[in-house]
Amino acid sequence: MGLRRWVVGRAVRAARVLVVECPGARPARMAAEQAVAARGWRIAQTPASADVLLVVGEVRGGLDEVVDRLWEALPGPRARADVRTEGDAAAALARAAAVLVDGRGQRADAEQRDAAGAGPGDDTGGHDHDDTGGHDHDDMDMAPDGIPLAEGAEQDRDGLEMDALPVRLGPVLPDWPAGLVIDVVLHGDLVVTAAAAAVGGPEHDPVSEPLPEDTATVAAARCDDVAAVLALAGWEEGARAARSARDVLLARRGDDARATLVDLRHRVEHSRWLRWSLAGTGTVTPERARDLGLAEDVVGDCRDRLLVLITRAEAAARRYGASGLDAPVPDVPAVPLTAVGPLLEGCDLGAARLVVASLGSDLVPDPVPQREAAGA
Amino acid sequence: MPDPQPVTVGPGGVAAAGGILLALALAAVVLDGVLAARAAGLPAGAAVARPLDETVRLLRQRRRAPVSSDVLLWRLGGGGLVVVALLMVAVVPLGRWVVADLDVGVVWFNAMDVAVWVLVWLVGWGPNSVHSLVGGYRFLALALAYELPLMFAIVAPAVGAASLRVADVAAAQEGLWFVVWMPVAFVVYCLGVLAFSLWGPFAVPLGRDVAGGVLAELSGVDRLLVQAGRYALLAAGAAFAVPMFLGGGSGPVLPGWAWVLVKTVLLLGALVALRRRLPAVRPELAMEVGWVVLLPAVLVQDLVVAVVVAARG
Repeated sequence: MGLRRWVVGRAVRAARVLVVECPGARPARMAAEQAVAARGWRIAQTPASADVLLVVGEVRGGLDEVVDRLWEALPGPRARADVRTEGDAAAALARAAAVLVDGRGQRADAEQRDAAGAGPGDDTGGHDHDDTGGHDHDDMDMAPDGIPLAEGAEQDRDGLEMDALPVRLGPVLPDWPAGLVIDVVLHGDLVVTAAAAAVGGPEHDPVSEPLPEDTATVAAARCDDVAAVLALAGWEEGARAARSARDVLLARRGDDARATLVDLRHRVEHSRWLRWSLAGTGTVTPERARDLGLAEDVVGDCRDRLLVLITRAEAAARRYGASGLDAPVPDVPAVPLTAVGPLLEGCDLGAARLVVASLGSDLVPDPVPQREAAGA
Repeated sequence: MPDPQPVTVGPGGVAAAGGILLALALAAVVLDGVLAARAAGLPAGAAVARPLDETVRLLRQRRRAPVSSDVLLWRLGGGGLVVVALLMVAVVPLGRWVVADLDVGVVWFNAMDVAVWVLVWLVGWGPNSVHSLVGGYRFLALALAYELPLMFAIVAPAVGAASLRVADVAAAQEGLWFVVWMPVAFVVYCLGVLAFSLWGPFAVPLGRDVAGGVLAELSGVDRLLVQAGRYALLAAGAAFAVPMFLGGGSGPVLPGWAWVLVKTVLLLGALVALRRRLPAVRPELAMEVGWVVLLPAVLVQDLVVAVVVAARG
């Protein structure tokens, strides 16, 4: 008995948390990530590696289905926690830890899943058939286990027969804007077509978040955008610096954050490695930006846009430092959702992720309805 | 002094070699955790127990397999990485002892590191998941870029020693370590080790931008095996560098086996520490570096070594 308790205790100490951020819950999500770190837990990238499913914000629209599917994909022992506001996270995680430690409860959960054929084993019954997205391909003949095979495509770079695979990216991926889904067709790892949409937001305003109330939180959110790009670019050290600036702002210590951001900007500007590895990724020409209804500052490649994001974070942090919590936040031009898809076409999957992150998280549904048809 | 005729060990020695490799891999995990904690400004103490906690967590976690996954190939790939690492160190002499004293030990190591291609690809292929598969593609793209430079890098010490037997290569460095007059080959070899261990700048097959890539669908003991395999490969790569470039067991005071371990630990530590310094190499750019920069550089290195050997007669 003592040994079992010791084993379980050690295992739960290293728990990993899959965070689902609902649209509008950004401040709560950032606070939740801090709470996860404070427990010594870590963030999981996928449900397969997670012990805890942490749902932040209000689950609306199509998101409840996604959350259910993710919950089924957690291997177990597993626990679910729901958080609505910034202050809730620590208590919710403590409850999740208690659930994970409870061996009897976990065994019952596992037996019940196995009995229902919904266990994490080699089943075909319990899962939704397409873990990556919800395309309807009932009309297709070749669909082993309900998953349609990749199709041929007319414009194919390598002439392979089964090489066009429809996949839905999002809404839950590491460093991905909340509530965003992008339906892509992949040739291998190359994005051929892409169409962005929003899920889980309020009816009237699907993606764009209600701006957080105070300047410090806005500045923290901007740092979070920077951290996302750097993490996706695979530069851990830089991402960690951006996140530490974010955490400092959330703790209301603006000066430290500004110093960190200035230092980070210097390192990004002078990193030859980063320049080389991001050079030419997702380049947007001025004409293209105009056609898609994008602001001037998306022009350039991902590195240029990363520098723009750092500038925005710096500006917001400076405004907070100078005038306190009620200072007006510098306005950021929003990116219309319909412009996102066309920017990804021709990128490989990793580059597409970088492009999405480099646009920041101020995505709005297109104000001009006609464009929706044209952009698809 | 390294013995040119090493003693082949029995089953007990084989088990000991496995134990040493896993201990080295564990040391790498702990060092990585401590460095991560220090970078984040956290106390390093917790990081020391972390590998134990993580291991226990993964052993307690259930295995899972997505719909229509190719479970057999997936698990072969995942379990194979540790095995390949063990087979790599089999030809590395530890002082007087060696598990397998092959005449073609250098080629053996090369064959093992090519086996990593298959294994990582299978780990990506198995779970029937887009992100895993893209991780597999990425590894093959990297492998095309790093494998030829790596091959030619380990040719240099073999030419220098005029032997493909690892013990002979170590013995040929009596006076002067090969790392001193084959620095380019050594650097390229180390990059190759980072690459086949999916480490540091070459960790893109399990990158965040593909949601963990080949790791995306792994849970429980399957994930543990793949992660352990990466660290074991890194340790095996560091161990093989010792007889190839770092003079094998030669050194003052300590016995040969102790020098081999000390050198391995130092190189392994350096490889682990590199991880935090460099951002990822995007796979589509890897060929550019591999074939335009590294391959010509290492070929020139081989030429220089060959000319020196020929001139010495």
